[in-house]
Amino acid sequence: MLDKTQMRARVEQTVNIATIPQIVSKLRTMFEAPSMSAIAVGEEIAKDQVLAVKVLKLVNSGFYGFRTPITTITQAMVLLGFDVVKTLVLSASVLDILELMNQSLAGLWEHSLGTAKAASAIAGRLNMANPEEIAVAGLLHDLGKVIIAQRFPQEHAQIRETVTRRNCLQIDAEREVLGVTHLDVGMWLLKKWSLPPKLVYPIAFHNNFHPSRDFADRTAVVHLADILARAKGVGYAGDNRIPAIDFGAWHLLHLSFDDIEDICLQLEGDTGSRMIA
Amino acid sequence: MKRIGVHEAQPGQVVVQAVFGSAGLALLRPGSVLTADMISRLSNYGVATLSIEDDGAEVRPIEERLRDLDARFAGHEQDTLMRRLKEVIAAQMREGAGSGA
Repeated sequence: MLDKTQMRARVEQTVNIATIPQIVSKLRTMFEAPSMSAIAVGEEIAKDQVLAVKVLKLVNSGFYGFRTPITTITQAMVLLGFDVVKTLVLSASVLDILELMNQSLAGLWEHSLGTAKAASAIAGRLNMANPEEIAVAGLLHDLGKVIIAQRFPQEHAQIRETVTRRNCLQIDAEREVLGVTHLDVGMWLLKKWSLPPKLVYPIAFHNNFHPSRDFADRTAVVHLADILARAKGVGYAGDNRIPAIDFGAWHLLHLSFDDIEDICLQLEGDTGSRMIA
Repeated sequence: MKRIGVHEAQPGQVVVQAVFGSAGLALLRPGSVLTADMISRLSNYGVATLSIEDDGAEVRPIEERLRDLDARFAGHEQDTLMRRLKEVIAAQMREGAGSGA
């Protein structure tokens, strides 16, 4: 098995983010300035055309439910807030990989979108603050799976093989093959990117809920959203099983099964497209 | 909804998500019906993939989908929450099948 420190180092060097740290550190400086305006930050992102297009593509992926497409970064800044746009800026390159690896990660994008949509619906139902941030955590909750596939292709193949052979959850196969899971791997990268804990925690603990941890409410939302997307058969999360709903998370959210019914109706159903095992 | 490569796109298919070109311009709005011209223009603009509506022909029979649902929930038979959740999803699948959706 690989050494954990070396693994973390390999994860932290992930992806072609050459232009990104520069623009993000610049954005952070701008954000701290009292006179910062959404327009100024939007203009800065818009200077990098490729990046701007990627961010707009994500914003318009459907999970925010805006009726007309958002066509400028400034608009996105105003509607979604700085933290969401920053997160999308950072993750744009990871989602690129997702598109590139559509063979070995088939369905993960749909699963991620479904989870974002479910998270947004749950947060809306509970009148939680900043539902956009919760939705983006839903979108990126399986970030670690993408990183494992890209940075540890051999182990990824072993994980796939284990899942197929044992029909187990992918997370259990990860633990067996890597000694860590996509939750750890995702957290390493998000921390490296200095994203705020309110976004990191719901992703890093979506499958390991604890009521006294910070941002337990958001974590509970992402946890449940993941399960609802799987239950509905939206996309493919890498396995054909579903983790059980955590009782602590369920009690914290305090939803009824009528709520669940409504939320599930809002999800893209299993439209019959075959799962890829 | 399903995501396909532009080279697989067929005239008549309906785009379900806005499509952006490499210059950041919105090329197609959701709901646009593809034509052969559009498809060749999209690849000229550097668009690689699109999301289109699933055609009904691909919808699998309800029995098969319910069997998959059972398989997904295997191991949770004693878990009250999971049992209720499965009932909700199964009911929605049957309703969807009944209305011909």
